[in-house]
Amino acid sequence: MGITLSVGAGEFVAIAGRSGTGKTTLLRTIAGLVPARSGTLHVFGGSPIEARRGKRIGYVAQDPRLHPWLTVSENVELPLRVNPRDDDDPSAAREWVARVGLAAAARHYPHELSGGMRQRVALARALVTAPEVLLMDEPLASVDEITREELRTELLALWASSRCAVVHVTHDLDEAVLLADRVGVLGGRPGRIVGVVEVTEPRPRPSRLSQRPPLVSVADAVRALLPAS
Amino acid sequence: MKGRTLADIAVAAVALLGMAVLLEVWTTALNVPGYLMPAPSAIAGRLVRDAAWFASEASVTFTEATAGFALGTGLAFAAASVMTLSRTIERTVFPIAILVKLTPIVAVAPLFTLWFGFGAAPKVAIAALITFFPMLVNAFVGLRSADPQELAFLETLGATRGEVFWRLRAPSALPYLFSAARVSANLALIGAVVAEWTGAEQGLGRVIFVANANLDLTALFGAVLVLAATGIVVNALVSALERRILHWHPITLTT
Repeated sequence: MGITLSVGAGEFVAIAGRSGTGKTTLLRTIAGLVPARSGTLHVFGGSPIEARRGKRIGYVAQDPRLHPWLTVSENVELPLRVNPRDDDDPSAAREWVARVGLAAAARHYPHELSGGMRQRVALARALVTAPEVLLMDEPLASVDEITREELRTELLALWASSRCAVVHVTHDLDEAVLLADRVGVLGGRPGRIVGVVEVTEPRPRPSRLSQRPPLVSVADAVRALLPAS
Repeated sequence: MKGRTLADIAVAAVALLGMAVLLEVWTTALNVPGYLMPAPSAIAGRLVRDAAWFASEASVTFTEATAGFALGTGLAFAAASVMTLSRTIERTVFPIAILVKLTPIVAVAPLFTLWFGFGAAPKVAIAALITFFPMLVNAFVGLRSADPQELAFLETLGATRGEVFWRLRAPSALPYLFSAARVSANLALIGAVVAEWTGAEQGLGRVIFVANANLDLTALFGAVLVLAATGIVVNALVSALERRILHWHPITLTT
């Protein structure tokens, strides 16, 4: 029973499943925020705590509030200032603010930003420490459809340039197929991996499934794996 | 917004002036003796004649209240921080804090004067005591109000407890501290005045006490009015500070 899955370096893995199957708990376990109740979990061959200490994990929550008293650029600098390492370079923050397209809003506060902009800040601050794995908890679930399509494309571009491994949990099966190299389907309660689907379609991928028919059949394969509720 | 504030002030001024005129007519027409209710014009005359004296007495009380407020706030924040560390400490500190809260200040003030003398110390102590409880409760709730997702984010970066405290918990507590400060700052002023009644050389409380004993009602009413004005200044200072520090806070933005 349970979850047996390994994520290779630089690989984009999506975990798709219904609400309540424990997607968030899975991510929190990988990040070492909650202990695994049974079984073993290795992050880069060690414990999640060790990975955290070395700042090798980037985390993006579903609807991040950010630090509301800090500007966009200060929010992105924050990960470089806490638990400082020798190779943490504060100038990396400015570069990342520009990379997510927020250079003009660098001095704005989170309450002045739209949901999509806040999510871009969250991505920038997760990637600014050059993590080796990026954990994303439905990062696109709380933005509107148009912004979501834009962010998918941007997310893939950022991932391509950073080459970190990604574990992306989502209840949006189409999104999982559009983004990932592999889609793990989570089913049951508590959740277990009921199947893994490879997405071999080359990148760059379109922002909508219907733009590339082979992806539609992959999504159908993923859907077929989902147990009936 | 600005126009509305000005209009509000104008309405309030007219209402106050109307009340003063009514009192003036009443005291003159019925020939009310000055040791019962002095005419507003007499109080105004006294305020103008002894303006420097009222101002210096007010500054003594204001300083005592401010020092007490700062001391009480500092102690409350420190206590609340320690309380967030463990349930045991929380259970130890809270009953003591509630005991402090339930003790009437009027009962403790003479004791403090007995212990600390007629100088500023007992006034500062009373003002601190009266500030302490609302600040403690709000600081405690505020420190715990930190966003769980942001806490998780800092944890995944390997942040230490100290980093989490200063970077996330303490700033999260600020809006709660300010809502307590709006109440406590005026309470601190009242605390200082009450402490002055029990024995002091200076201050508005002392002025009120002596004027009352001498049936010097223009001084008494003058001091009360100056005290009210000091309270308004205190409120304005807290609001100004809040707007400056909490500019990022949505609730501050809408008010």
